[in-house]
Amino acid sequence: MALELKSSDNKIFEVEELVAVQSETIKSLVEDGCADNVIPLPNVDSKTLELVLDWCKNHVDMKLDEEKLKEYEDKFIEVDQAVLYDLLLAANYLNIKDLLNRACQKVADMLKGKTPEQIRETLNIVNDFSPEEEEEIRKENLWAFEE
Amino acid sequence: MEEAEAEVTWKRETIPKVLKIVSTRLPQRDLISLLLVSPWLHRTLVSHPSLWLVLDFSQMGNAGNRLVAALSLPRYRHVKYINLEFAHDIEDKHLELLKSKCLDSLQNLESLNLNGCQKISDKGIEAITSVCPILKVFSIYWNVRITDMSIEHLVKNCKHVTDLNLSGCKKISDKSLQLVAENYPKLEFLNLTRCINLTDRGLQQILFKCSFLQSLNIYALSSFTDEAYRRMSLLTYLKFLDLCGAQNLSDDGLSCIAECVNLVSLNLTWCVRVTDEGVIAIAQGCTSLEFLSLFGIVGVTDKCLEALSSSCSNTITTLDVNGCIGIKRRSRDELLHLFPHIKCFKVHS
Repeated sequence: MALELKSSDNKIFEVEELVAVQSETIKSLVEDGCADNVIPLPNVDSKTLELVLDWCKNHVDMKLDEEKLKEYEDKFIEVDQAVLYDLLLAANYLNIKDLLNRACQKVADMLKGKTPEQIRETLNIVNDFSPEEEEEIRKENLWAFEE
Repeated sequence: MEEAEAEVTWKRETIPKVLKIVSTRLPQRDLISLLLVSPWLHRTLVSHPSLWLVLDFSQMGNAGNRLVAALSLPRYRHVKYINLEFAHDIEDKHLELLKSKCLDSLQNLESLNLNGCQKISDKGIEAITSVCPILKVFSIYWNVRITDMSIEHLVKNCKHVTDLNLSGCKKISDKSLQLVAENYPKLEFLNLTRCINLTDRGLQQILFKCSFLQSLNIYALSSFTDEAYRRMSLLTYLKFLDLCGAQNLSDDGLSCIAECVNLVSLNLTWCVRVTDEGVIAIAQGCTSLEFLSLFGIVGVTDKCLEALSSSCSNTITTLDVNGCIGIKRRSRDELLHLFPHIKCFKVHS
């Protein structure tokens, strides 16, 4: 059984049901009988959807080979930030738990133990705090950083 | 210029969305670091109440002062879980300070972990329980200062406790058990490990009145007798029972425990009076058993393993028969033959 998914930029992807239902969101649609026509996914672009479907397909194919799957997952998640964020948001929207967990873990590891300044550098964010604001917030949260 | 603007917009929308999702999985310190990154990130995160329901100072120094500082912040108004397990520098005076300064912020507290907070005494318990009306889970493992007075304060102030851990609180007596039995009929989880002053009288109160108990831990309490053990049959919902060290438990008492048909985990380590008769009763009654330790029981033989295998071979995943010299066929392979799903052969070290 094949399903048709449409990305936000109107590209159609034909996918095996078994692969697509790794997404709890799509699974619910199938179970409710709403998957007969093309399923629109306005929150996911084709580039991201292609990657997500690759993840899903490999999770079906490699289900029994834990080692191989881990190798695949480790390689899969080595992407640059913009792609990582798109994958994370897509996994959230499509409710694909293992992909969401993996992507979140990657972002969490990026931030682990970093100072606010280091986080700004990592995420490429400008510090637009006023000095007074920054000092106030720093002071009221000092308790969190004591050693 | 347009492209750069578009990128900033994308960043402003995408990064907050991503961080909102990731934040729920970040440890406390990293999460708070995010607050200091930028004003819009601060705004986004602070306005999400679900991110600020936990305060964790486990194993941290200066915990008392830090807790007061944290609870003075509006974003922790709805905190649900406070963890002070093995925290340093937390004393009665900090809990009293919380009562006078932060009582609004504790109205939603559901779970308080004071494990290893050895400086806390009845005074501190009086203060903290008086401002946590909906507390459900209370744990104060290894505190040898608190007395029955603390339990009096607890039952007076917190009417909804379902989980109570008093493991190692040596001063607790039967009086506390009476208070617990009278006030918490819906108690689900009770840990009385090493509360050595307890006797049958106190335990019976619990057995008579806390009929919804699912987990009971009376590890290293050797003064109970069958007088109390027999009444365990009243606990129809019991799933977890730790009787390690129950040296007075006989087959008669164990046969009554066998009436707790929902038992999943049973620790009979060092229950030295038990023989095949009692374990066979368990085998026949508790067919959902997954975890069983018979460690150190010399009076049981292969007979009881056969009985266990005929009713629980599908469910048992942990079986400790080390030291059971009466059982002749207990090599790893022999045990796997009887219980094909065993993953763990050793509970007691």
